[in-house]
Amino acid sequence: MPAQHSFTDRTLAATRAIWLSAFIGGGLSAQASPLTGAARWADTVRVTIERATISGSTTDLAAAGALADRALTAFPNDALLLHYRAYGLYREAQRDPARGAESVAQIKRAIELLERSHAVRPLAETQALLGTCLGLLANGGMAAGMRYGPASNSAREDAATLGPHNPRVLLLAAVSSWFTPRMWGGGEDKGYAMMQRAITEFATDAPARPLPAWGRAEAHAWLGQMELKRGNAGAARAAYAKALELAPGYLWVSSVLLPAVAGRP
Amino acid sequence: MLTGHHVAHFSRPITRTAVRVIGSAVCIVVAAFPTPSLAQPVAESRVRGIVLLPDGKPARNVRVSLLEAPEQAMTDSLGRFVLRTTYRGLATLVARRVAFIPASIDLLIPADSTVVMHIEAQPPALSTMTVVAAGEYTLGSGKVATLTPLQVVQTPGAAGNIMRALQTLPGPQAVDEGSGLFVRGGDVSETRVLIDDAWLLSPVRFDNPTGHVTASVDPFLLDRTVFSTGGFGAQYGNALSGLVRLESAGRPTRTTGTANVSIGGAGLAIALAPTSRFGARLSANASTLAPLIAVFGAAQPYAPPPRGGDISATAEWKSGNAGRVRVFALRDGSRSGVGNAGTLSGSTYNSRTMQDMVVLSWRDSSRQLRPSATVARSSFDRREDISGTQLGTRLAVTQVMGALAYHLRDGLVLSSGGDLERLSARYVGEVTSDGAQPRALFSNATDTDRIGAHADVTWRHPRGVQVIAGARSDASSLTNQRTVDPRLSIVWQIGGMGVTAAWGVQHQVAEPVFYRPTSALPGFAPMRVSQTIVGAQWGGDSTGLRLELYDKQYRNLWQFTRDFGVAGDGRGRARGADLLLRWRFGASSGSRIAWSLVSSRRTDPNTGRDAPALGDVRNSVSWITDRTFGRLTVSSALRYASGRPFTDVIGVAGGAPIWGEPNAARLPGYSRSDLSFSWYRPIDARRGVVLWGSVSNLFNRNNVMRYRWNADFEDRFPVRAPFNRSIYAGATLLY
Repeated sequence: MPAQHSFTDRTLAATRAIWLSAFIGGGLSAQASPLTGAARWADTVRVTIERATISGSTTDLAAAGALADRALTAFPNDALLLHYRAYGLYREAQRDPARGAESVAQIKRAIELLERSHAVRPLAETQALLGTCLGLLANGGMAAGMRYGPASNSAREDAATLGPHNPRVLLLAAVSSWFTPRMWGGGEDKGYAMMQRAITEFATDAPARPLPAWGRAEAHAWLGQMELKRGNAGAARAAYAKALELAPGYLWVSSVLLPAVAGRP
Repeated sequence: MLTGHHVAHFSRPITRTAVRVIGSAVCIVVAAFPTPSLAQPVAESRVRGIVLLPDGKPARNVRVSLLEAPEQAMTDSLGRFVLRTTYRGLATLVARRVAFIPASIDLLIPADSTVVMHIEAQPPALSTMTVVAAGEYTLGSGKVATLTPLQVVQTPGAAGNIMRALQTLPGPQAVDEGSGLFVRGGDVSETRVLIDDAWLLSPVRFDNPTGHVTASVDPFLLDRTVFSTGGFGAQYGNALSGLVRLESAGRPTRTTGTANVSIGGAGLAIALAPTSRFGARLSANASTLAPLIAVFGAAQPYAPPPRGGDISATAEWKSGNAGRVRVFALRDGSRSGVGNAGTLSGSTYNSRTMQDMVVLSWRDSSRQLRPSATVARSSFDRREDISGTQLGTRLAVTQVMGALAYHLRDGLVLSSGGDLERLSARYVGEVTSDGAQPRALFSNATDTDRIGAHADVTWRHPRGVQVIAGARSDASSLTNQRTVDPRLSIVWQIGGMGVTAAWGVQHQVAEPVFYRPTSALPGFAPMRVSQTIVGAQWGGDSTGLRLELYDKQYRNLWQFTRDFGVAGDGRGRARGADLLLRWRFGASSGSRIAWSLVSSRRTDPNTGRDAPALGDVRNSVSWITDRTFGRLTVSSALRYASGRPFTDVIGVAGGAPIWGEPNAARLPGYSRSDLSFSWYRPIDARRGVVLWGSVSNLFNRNNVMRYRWNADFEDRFPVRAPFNRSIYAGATLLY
């Protein structure tokens, strides 16, 4: 085997590892509860994406996508599998937005999957992700803004209606508000307040498997950045510590966010 | 051990793309799985089973596999299979066949019993129903949208005019360069334009004998436009040939604004979102074609050049989870004048118009019972001067509409409603001789009420069939008759293909200006058309083909004679084909071709003989192409129409013309090319500038729109299209 693996090689290897741990070894989720059929696969994909997000592994993320694609051949209209396939694509595009056209293609496919998922089973997280993905496309210029902007707002409103206390809806809305100018209905204060609400809601958040359960550690990571921007380096460090407590090995926090706050008063 | 017996009910068609994706995923996972040579030696076990069709017959050639392992097997002619695998543990067994829903069960391997699986054919899902009802085209957001508001603005030669953009779709005939919609062989007065279901009395501005120049409504104040060339639902009455349903833009979700300035006008628009439930929009525009005409000239002498303005506002309150109360208000006015306007040389035409409209509407779709109500008041005032003859028209209409839709269960909707329309029409004619007092020619005031009721049922079958059957009845105090219109629309989606059909009867009460009871024409029967449409569609938004064939039979037509007399009891027939082809070249280029063929004949109002109708433009073709280069979008439009019919002068007797066979002659063919561009540059995170422009009539073709004659009718002169080649440019600030 050559020393330098191609992306495909690494994806295949990661898929194999996930495969073996998930099924031959008893399964990531099958071990814990008797989920069957599409729900079992959805839960496995969910856990795999979450682990890949925390560890920062793009190959594991791609492997989770391959796993979801495989499961979708058997359950082509399962709302959660469609949701998680789209969520994985969103994470891939978010991790490396510099890939440009490839990221846009991933976001477009995620939108199509989320719309299919919503048509089968409306979930607040599905609409929230849809709003975020459409919002990413809307940032591509005036024409894109006019094409995707209203649909993005509509999806976000739907998400808020479906899950007014859903912490993942609040998390995505908070990040969006943080980066949206006040004149356009956003603002940093609004985003900060919404993120604190999200963290409060996460404290009592206990969705049943295989429903979406992502985002708690990420919320603290975003809160830390907001605190830092507001000049509260200590609070930022505390938020990052909380994120690492919830998700030990959270690569984004340990290798990017924490070093950035080191030495700040 | 068999852990489940599962028959899946999925509803997404397996497309070639899906098959490719499935293939790729299988390859990836299968390649990742340990090969037998690498795995620990494990005893092979066999999973035995049978796959059946819903009727109990064996399903052969079904591929059976485990999601967890690469092994697979095919069913034989008896539907049986034996899958050999070294896998152990909980597994998902899947049975797949092209065009069938995959079936799956969870089982523990080794399994000691025979697995029984059922697969059934793949029906199209209701959620993926993308086939559009016969005769209908949609603009705006939505999966079946034909044109978006941005495409309306970017349609070259349309100048942001919705009606001109609609003319690039199949159905309308290119009778002149104006904004009027002559739909499928019908007359322009037979197309009704609605805003939030209320009647917009004048959708166009700048009256001109060769057509209207602009539209009354800013396209960005609209959320959605549905253009029906036939096959209307039962809720729409008093429209004979075409229906344009405009829906005003809803509550903005953030505060924004735009300001634009161009060679011929300026405008300002503000969207306000003070709370999450309330929002408002304000827009004001003023325009004049004087600078353009001064720079590029015009084929006709304008005096004064067209100028006008509009102001509009929308306020919306979100009620409950899925309800809204909206007020839309519009006021627009225009003035223009042109020479060589009539049949004779030297004639002049001047007009001044003013229109007001207020619509209050309520919709609620949060429950199974979905109510809607609309109250509207519109008025239209026009003063015209035709070579010293003054005509005054004042129309005012009050409308009240209500409807209730009940979603009985999945796929079945019952709806019914009613509408009341009170129209007041005033017509005044005067003639002014040199220095003399105006002499009254006529004065007519008519008030009329129309009451309508409708009911329909929509039924969707999971196998991709949709049927809408309904009826409406209208009674008018002007006609003193009650009409009954049955209507039926059928859509059948088979994978990516769709078949549509519609049949129905439509009535329209002619405008009160035609109401002049005489002993020869004592009654005023409503105009009637019965039409049949069949069509086929393939593809989707970006690439697709749509073909429709139609046949329309008219009765009781009311028309003007050459000297503005009235002729009733006309008959007619129109038949033709409409084709729309759309495709994309990569991610940045797209093109669409609309081709309408029609043969339309009507009773000639002057002679009473059967003759080609004004809308008998045999071929109308438009080809629109757009390409995006980063932030620059360039669009081109090519339009062609075969010449429209006209009645020629074949001689002179006693100074009066002898007219030839009605509409037997044809104008030369019409063609025009236009180009437009827009370029966006962001200033900062919230502000940006759009530079835009167009080259109209790129090759400066002077199309002949009609003919005029000299005073003794000996010489004929062509009246050219009003505008020469011109360059129009402007800038919009977004903030």
